[in-house]
Amino acid sequence: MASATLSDPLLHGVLISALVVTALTFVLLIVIVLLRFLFTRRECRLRSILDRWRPLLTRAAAGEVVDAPQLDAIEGELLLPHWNQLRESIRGESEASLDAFAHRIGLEGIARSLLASGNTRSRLLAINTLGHIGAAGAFEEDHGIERTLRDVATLEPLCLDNNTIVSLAAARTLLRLDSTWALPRLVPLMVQRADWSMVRLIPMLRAADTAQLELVLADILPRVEGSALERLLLIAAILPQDRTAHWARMALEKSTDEAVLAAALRLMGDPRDAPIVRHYLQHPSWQVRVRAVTALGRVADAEDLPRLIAALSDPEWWVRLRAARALARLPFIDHEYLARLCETVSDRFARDALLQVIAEERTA
Amino acid sequence: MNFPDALYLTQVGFLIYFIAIHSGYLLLNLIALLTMRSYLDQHSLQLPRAYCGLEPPISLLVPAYNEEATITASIRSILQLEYPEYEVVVINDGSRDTTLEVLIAEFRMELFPEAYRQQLDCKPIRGIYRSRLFPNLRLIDKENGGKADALNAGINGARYPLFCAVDADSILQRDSLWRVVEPFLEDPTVIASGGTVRIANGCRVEGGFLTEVGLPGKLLPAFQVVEYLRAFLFGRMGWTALNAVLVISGAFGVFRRDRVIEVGGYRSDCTGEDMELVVRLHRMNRLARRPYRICFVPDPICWTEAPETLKVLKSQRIRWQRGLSESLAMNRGLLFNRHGGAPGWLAMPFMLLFEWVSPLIEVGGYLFMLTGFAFGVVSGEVLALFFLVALSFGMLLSVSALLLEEISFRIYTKPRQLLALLGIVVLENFGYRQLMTYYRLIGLWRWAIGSKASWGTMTRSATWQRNS
Repeated sequence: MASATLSDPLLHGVLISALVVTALTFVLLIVIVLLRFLFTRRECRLRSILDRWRPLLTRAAAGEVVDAPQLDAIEGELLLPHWNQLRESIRGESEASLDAFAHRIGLEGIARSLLASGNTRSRLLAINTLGHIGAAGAFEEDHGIERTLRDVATLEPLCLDNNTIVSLAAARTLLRLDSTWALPRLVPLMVQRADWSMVRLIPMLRAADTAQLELVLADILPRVEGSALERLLLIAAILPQDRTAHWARMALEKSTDEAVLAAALRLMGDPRDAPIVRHYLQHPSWQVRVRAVTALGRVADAEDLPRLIAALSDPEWWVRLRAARALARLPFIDHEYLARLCETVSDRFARDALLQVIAEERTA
Repeated sequence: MNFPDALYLTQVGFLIYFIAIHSGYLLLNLIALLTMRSYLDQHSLQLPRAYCGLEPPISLLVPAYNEEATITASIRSILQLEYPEYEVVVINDGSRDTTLEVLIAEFRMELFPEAYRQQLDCKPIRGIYRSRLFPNLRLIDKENGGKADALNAGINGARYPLFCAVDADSILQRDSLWRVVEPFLEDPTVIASGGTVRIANGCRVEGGFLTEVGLPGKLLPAFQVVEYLRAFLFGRMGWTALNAVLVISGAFGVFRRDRVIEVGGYRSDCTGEDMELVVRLHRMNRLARRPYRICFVPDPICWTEAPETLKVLKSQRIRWQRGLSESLAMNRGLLFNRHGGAPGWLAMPFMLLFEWVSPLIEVGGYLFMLTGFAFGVVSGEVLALFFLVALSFGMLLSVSALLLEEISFRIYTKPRQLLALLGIVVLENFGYRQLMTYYRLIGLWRWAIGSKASWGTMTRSATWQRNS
């Protein structure tokens, strides 16, 4: 055959598929136009809802008693993100006013119905909303305590959800609703769940009662090790240093995990712990040595000067720099001493670290 | 096999190839669609970010070469990014103009005796400066060595565990760092995260930040808007789901500093140093069987100017094809490696077959069909079928990318913008895509013969920077 023709079954098949693809392209073009139409219509509806409700929300946040109708489910779902945005942007008495208003117009019920939705976005909105409205506390006339307990019971299982963001949002909301109840239940999870980033957890815990947090952490401490112990110690950094130093000592005693040692050394700040800190200046891991040098800067006395000077020649840059900074911040060391040290030290890398720190101190 | 059979097989072969290449991308779009829904659901609610002191601090590395006209505006806008802790390290790569002097004057830079760590090879450092106005701004002045060399110097001088390579002319959003760093917060195995790069032509930029999205007024950059959606956005989204994304744009990507140093940093003997690094990260982590992830953030968080002339566009596409060829060749140990996983068994073969060799086959297909028809060895029916396949599948791919955009970010909100995009989606298949294929073929040829690579000159209008 010199040239193929469309009578060839293979080429015929190619033709059919090309025609199907062409038809599909036109269908998708129509779908795109339709989606845009639906989106535009939804946006118009949203704009009209916002035009009506924005002034009411603003007045409610300002503390006015605003007369407003109950929201229907569709309006409520469209309004929820904006209510949440406004809620996150205000502080003080406005928060309670806005929460009470949300309860009066039925936003709470709408959020609760979304909680059962399979859609992650809806669940996140619902969780966040309940966290705000539920935390407004006792609407005694509406059996507020019972309602809060019901929300707590609904949200608690969500903290075990595999979805990181949903579970974190649920944890955050529970802490808002009732942190006394939530802390003993959530902190063990926080310590175990590696997918719950410390960056998200620390701001949540900062608002909690530190005395209760201390009790909860103390209760968990004997039962954890490895990465869980590291996470516990990172959380413990929220608490005052004098309350956590003994935990750090305990962790240093029982663990050889580098991450745990580094986290424990962060908590060291008592001069009586200087002998313990010194022990880690020669640790094989530079991450541990850097924490040890930094901690030594907090607890050192005059006899630690040679140790910090020796750390200026550490093979790891970060250890050298932290040693130089630790030296510069010792209360009994002045700039002249550092300058003389810079001239006398033979190690080039030590000199570089000192020069940098001297310049930093000068420009500070 | 006789000549007629060979002819027949050749015709069928080209047809099947065209179907296969577009089907491959359609499959990626389908994966991207499934991944996108889940991503949008989970990231639709921006929970407030209260700083806690544990956010990973980032070193932004900004290589600069002969940027005297625009560097000040670029750095000023980068310094306005919203993120708890970051430093900006500008690397003056031996500029021959007054880039260094401008930086020193505008930001009151002074020489600083910094303890510089040479962990990656780079050209000699002439001096390190700190700004008296902005404590988090530093400048490394070095001898010229190219972008990769400059980035290596920046990595050496970076203080923080994450670094972000940023092009000086990239337009970021205030929360761009937050967005691109999120994968690192959610998954401790993430070692690199790339941001989506969108076309800034036609957009309004004020104070170095994008304030209004628009479409380019010229056809050439408008074609690139659709092309970026098709090839660079949803394709990469698909690969991310498989942990096989092979390219993170050099315009905006965050990396774990220690893991990049481990693999030797950027290669300065390579045109596409950004892609080569990512492929090498895959290779070395796969072969070492270390858990890792390389992600891609689909949100539009970085904008860049697209070439507006054919000359500049040609130079860019030739360079990209060379970069692709070098990256694949330099990391061929990953291909079909026992431990290669999705990158070695799916992404690399896909890239080889549908990106690397495709210009040769596509241009070959067009030439064969047209020449064959002229000489009577290809029937009119087959020629028509060939063009029908090329155009219909090409359009479907572009339309599916537009559909994904409509479902996800919908950044072109005006009805006339949508209409323009719909028109471009059809029009780009009549000449533009074929021209880009031809440019890529030139790039492939130049790589094959080992000719010296050059960046050429990117003529930027960048009026927003001059007006800032």
